[in-house]
Amino acid sequence: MLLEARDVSFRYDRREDWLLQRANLRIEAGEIVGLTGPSGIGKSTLARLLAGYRKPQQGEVRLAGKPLPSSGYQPVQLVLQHPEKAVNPRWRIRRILREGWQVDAELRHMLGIAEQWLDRWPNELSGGELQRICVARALGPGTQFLLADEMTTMLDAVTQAQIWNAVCEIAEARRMGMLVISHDAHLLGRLCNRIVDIDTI
Amino acid sequence: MALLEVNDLSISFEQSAGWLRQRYIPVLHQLQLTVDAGEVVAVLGASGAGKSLLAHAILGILPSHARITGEMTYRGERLTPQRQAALRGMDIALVPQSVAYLDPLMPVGEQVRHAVKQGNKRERQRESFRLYRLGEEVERRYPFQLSGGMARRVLVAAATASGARLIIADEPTPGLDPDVMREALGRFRELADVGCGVLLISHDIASALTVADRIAVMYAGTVVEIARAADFAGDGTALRHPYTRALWQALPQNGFVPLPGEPPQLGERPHACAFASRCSAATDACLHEQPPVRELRRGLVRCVHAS
Repeated sequence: MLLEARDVSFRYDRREDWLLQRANLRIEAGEIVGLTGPSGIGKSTLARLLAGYRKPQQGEVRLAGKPLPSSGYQPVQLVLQHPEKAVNPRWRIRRILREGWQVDAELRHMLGIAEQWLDRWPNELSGGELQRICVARALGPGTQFLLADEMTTMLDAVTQAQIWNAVCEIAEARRMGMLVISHDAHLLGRLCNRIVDIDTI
Repeated sequence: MALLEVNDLSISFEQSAGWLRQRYIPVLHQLQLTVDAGEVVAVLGASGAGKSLLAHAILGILPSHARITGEMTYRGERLTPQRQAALRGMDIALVPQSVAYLDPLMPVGEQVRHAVKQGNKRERQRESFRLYRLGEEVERRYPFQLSGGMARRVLVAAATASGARLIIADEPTPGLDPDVMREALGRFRELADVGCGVLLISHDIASALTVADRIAVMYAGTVVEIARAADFAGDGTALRHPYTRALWQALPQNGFVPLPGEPPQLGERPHACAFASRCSAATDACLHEQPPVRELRRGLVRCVHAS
């Protein structure tokens, strides 16, 4: 299984310069790739293209040689920096956890999601608690690649280590591929098999 | 005399519990903190530990259902609501979390002049722009014409030009790339070096340590330790509280060790040590009363076992 961006170019506005130009990136199943580089030069945009949130104007994104599926459960899942912006504030946690698949008790336990959170509203959980919900939601059995865009940047060090510890264990057990976007070189050094600078792709 | 002294500060929120009855949800418990002139004190902790509540309490901008006990003094005088209102934006300034707090429809020079409360507004503004290497042409620009780094410098310039002596910066750096982060934090160091006291609220230990003199670590609504920046070294043996050590050892550059468990929800267990359920050294004493705060090795700690 291979997720790849082939010669993708993208810009948000035709009057502007290309944000990404003929960019290439390959992530194998079971591989953890770090992506780093200064703010504002397209790291998050590349993740959005790889997850199918946006289509590149040139080039293509391929999963196992084919385009991403246009309907059904998405095998490439994206987790963002701000969990409070990624959930419906008017849904209880229980419903948010059912959004993509029925999150099971085993995964909840691995991620440290307590039973009593399920009946709360998103604004009644801390940032770290809510991010666990978003991670669980993205880890359905159909997920083959997880893209983590500054997933733990807003969290304290203990919570960050807890979440990554669980995610890496799950990724390894399922031979899931991951892309980790972060400014923290130490974090990437801990997690990744290889680290790519966005300037070089 | 400390610039800011917070003594035994507790806050609870009033909540209606049925017909004509109220209950109080405790959110901050007996918190101690001082900030001296010339010093950067970082307040570290997980989200939900009460860091922003502390900032809001000092500024006097808590919601009206908050009940506050304990004492805060600024330059030796008690901070009453009236005095807080008089000092806010004058002597005590907030550097907000995001550059989105700038007015998008007003040139930034004018915004900074608005912040000046003493002396000639234009002179003070120009002086602070020079200090932060913002050219005179920047005065006439609108926020959208500035880079992220420049906009951040404008926010700090406004705090400097205001003449405030106590600066409270609420999470000013998350998600910045290392160069921009270093620059933003460097500004706070400079403010302290010209005699201000800076309270830097953050969840990022590694970056806070690059500028802070002392670190206050919050856990579940109280300060569990006040350490010197130099205590964060090696495997953390110089640290006093087990939670501080866990934070230090959880950094990817240290052990990346995930301490299991969660902090208690706000309002739970104010009468026990809040960390006891996650602490390997916890004993009966820890479950029955909140450990008192005590001095230890030129710092403070709230743990009966610390030595």
